[in-house]
Amino acid sequence: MHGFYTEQRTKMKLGLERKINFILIYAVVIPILLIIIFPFLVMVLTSLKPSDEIYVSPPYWLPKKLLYKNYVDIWRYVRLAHYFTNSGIYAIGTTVLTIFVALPASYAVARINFRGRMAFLFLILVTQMFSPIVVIISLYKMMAFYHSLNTYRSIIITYAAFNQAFSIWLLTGYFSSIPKDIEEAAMIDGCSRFSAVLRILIPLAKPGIVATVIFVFIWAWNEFLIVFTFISTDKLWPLTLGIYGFIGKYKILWNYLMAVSFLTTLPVVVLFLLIEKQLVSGLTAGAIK
Amino acid sequence: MNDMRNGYLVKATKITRTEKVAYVCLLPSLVLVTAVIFYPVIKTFISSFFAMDLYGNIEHFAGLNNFKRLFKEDIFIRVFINTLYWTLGMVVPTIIISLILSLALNNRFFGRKFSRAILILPWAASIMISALLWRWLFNGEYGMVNRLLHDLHIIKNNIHWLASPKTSFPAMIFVGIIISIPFTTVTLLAGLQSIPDELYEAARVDGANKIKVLFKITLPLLKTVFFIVTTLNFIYIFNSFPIIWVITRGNPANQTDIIITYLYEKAFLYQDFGIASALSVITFLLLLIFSVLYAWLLYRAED
Amino acid sequence: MSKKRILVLILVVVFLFSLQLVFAGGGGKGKKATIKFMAALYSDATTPFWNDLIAAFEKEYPNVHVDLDIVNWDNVYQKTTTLISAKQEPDILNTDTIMVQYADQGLLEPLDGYMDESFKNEFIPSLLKSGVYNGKTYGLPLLASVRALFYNEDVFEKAGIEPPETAEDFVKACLAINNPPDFYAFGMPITNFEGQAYISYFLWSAGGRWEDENGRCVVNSEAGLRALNFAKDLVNKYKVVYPGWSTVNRDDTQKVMISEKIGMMMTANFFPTIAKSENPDLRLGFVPIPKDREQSNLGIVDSLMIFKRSEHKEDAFNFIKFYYSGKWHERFVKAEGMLPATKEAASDLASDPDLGPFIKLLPNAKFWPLEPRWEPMVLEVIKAWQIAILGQKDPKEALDDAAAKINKEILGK
Repeated sequence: MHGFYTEQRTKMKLGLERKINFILIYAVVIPILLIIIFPFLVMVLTSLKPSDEIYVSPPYWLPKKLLYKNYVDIWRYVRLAHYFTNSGIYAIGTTVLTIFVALPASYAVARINFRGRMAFLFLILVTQMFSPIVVIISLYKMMAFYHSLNTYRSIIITYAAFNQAFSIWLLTGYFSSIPKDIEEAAMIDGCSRFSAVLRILIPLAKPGIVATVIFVFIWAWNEFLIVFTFISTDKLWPLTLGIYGFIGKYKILWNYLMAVSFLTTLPVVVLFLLIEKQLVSGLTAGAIK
Repeated sequence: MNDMRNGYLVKATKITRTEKVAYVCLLPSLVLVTAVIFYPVIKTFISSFFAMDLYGNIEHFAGLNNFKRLFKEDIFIRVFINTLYWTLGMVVPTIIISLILSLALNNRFFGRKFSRAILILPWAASIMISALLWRWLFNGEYGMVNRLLHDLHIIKNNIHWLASPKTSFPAMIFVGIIISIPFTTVTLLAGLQSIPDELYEAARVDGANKIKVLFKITLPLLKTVFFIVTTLNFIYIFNSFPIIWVITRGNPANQTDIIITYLYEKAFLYQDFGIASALSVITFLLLLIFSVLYAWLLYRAED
Repeated sequence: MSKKRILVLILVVVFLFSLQLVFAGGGGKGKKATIKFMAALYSDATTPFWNDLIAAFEKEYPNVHVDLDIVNWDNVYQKTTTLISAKQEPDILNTDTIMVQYADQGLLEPLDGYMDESFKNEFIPSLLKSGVYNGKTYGLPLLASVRALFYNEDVFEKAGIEPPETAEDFVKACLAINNPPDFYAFGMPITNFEGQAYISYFLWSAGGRWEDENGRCVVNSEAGLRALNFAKDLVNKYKVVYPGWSTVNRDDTQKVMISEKIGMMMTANFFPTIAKSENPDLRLGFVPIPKDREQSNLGIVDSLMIFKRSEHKEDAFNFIKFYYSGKWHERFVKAEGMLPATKEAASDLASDPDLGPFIKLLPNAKFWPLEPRWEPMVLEVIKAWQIAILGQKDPKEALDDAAAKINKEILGK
């Protein structure tokens, strides 16, 4: 189902056009990926360097000594496993809550022509226009008032709120691009609205839902300002705060910092690899019929 | 959102049963954003008309004084222009590159899974860490960018990237583009994947070539997602804080600041919450105007 | 399950969730007093140290529990401002010059009543004095640092010159070792990171001051202008300054010097310690800041303070006192590569190869004025210096404008 080719083309036409296509694709994708991967290569190489190889001019590409020990040491310096767990709690909690709240709202906007539809959409968009910096003090006061400082829920709820705009707009967009007829056919056949949504719309919209899940998860996994302000005890620190153990007032432990940063990206990459197949749909074939 | 501008029902008075369902669906979301975002924001907006103490607490009414003081700041125009330059300079290349990339990744080819995994890296890393890394990479003496350019024989002498806004600002925009490409691409890709095969098949059967398919089928159906992604990108990038704060922190003399970094400095270093609140109001108005204009532009064709 | 039932279920869940939000409190009570300590992060040694000290303290004072919140310097002002705004200040705070503002605003508890003479005498007098505002002691010195002019000994030997003592010698030395673009003589980071340090070196050396006796900003005095023009000439006339001076902060500039691309720069006593681990071959020497009209040296003190709103001030003070007891203070400063604030620690560490030579400079160090609005004031002056040196404004005009703005809008004088 992917892209422009189907089995109805003749093998010969397929062969030549396919080759040109591949060349075009590689010509586009490879340079961009190289630029993207460049800092990460540097990150990994630096994480394996000893301290005295970092500030050299001109800099070396490869470490002269490979210090795998860096990766062992970091677990000693800070409570890394603990921070990983907390990051996971914030990220998963936020993603679940966000999707739970945004999905029904997106469904309504995409499928029901109700009064105030545009107003709601723009209202939600407006919430995206405020950086957390602008509201951090008021937010903090509110959390203090509700005795929710230094709790997981203060973070999860706040994160979910800030992700509503993106999630709703995105999900609405994906829902809208799926023709209504499919659900309506099911509803005519006696399915309840809820059932139709659950069994037909949502599976078809999987790529969109997956994209949203990835976005929210990564946003929550990497957020700094809000959790930095709300949390004052290292029991609840996520990785973004824990990483600061390596950034002192006068000195940055680059090699350890890079090692931790690299480890921090791994769960996200793993998550992505696990669900990226969903970014490939292929479920529409035959569905309309 | 195929009929985005059409929001009126036939029945003007009674709330239909279907509408009730809609409102119930909206409720949790509305409650959440009102409590967490609107309530504090409205407080901030109101406070922009008051003088505040060093810790953001309201003291006495000041009318438009905060706004007057803001506009009197010499650097405000420069910061404003920087923000436009920053946002457009980042959004446009990001969208173009992401679109091309997503079209490419929409095809099956050898190494696709690997490419997607690599793509996700700048997104997976925290922006702050990426910015720190790039600050190190762009250093004139011990940074890898110069080393790479040197090895590729593109430059002979080290470029002092961060020494002047002329080079540091574009460098930071470049960093922002790299960081924005992944999620834009993934979002567009998901949109592409939702386009039913049957449409492509039908076009094939009709003998349409690839370019025609791209412009007559793919892009129009992508319009909605495209609009969303561009708007959200614009808003998101407008308010993007960590890159500039970590790399130049506005140096020299606020000349590499954008509105949000300038706001942070005013709020937490100058402790001038009056100007900071005024800036929030200005930011909001600008973004609102942009969104409305952009929606109108994109959708006026349809009617 | 019917649609209605699912909706009801959802609503119930949401309702319960929000109930929990409203009614669940944070943290348990019990017989223990909990004091919240917000400490600044200096290095990777900071957190382990405080954890050890807290464990020992809690053993000695079983009825007190200490909650540690380590905050990094880049964001500390944002967090403390937010906390103060919400009346959620910690009991004890470790911070820098902003202490003066908090004292001025009446947020801090005066500590004189908690200290007896013998405790007061433990401190190096000049350091204790820098925590005194309007006659009352608000902050106790956690640690100190002094600045010096560091130079690359190998480069100086090769050029056959001695490290400079006067401003004139300094310029000559710069010209002797300067070799752009491969090597720059002088690193001069003047950014909003800590530009006020460099400005102080030049300003004080020229005989100028930040404020006069009435607290008015006088950086635009004749001496102030002289200092600015001196810096400006270094950049534009003699061209001996590392190009990133207006953007690359002091820490990154130190790294350039460590990678042997800069010959001299002024920074703090911990520089040799950092350099040792990052470039063991680098030979660093140091001399006092060169003298133009006056000899001065910059000293910096970070303090421990107690907020008035604290409900456990006695316990908080006991914690602070505990820090100065035994060898804790000494252990901390040694681990951080900083200078001690007590006489005992100073004499113990006098023979320390890294700290000893700098401890000697402490008693004569000069400190920044106790100005509640120090941060915005220095930001304006830094910008004026940057603009003037970049040639975007005439130096005298830049300084006059900055001083006028500061006096009118920031200091209200």
